[in-house]
Amino acid sequence: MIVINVDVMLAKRKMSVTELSERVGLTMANISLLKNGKVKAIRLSTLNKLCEVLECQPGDILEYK
Amino acid sequence: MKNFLFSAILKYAIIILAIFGLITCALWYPLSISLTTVGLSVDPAPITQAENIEFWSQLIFYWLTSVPCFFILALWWIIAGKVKRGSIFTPGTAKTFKLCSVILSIDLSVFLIGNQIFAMLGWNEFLVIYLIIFAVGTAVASLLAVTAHYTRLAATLQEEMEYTV
Repeated sequence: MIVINVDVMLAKRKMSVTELSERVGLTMANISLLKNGKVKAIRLSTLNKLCEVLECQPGDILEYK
Repeated sequence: MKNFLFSAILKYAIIILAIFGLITCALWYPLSISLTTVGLSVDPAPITQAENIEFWSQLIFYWLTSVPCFFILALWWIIAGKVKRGSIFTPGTAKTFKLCSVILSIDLSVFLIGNQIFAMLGWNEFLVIYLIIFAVGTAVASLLAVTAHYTRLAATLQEEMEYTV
């Protein structure tokens, strides 16, 4: 199962959910879906933007358990 | 705006179909059955007990087979409301379409069997018209079944889209 570690990266970068939402260009609802692991698919463009804003690799956000 | 327009068009069509159905039940059925049982006569004779039974049994049968059709129109009215809200592609709507298809298929089967029995008894002079009704109804039931299938697929796609970021 793929786990999304956005919470971990937000804490590391000391960034709020609101700031992430604004900088990535996702709605708070979609950010909430990401955080709660209810997402069924992530576009590469969204993953690209997340990595850019959080200054990390895709593997830092996506983990297989 | 488009959802509102489509919903209004659907509801208008449902109202027209309902009026047509009511006219059929209130006028066509009694008239056609009385023509075959009593017939047209300048000097009308008193109606016999057998003619009475022939008339009322057919009329009640056709009225009873019309009830599911009005129930289906009511379900379509609910679907038209979902169109207005923009929530048509849901598993619930697909199940409603499937239910309409099943109800209509069963109703048509009963309708066909009843008309065959009336024809065997020599009561039914409008068998061709009722066979046309059966054929049209079968086509509608098939369309509803196909619509149910693709609505379910669309609902699955929509759900995936909603959970895609």
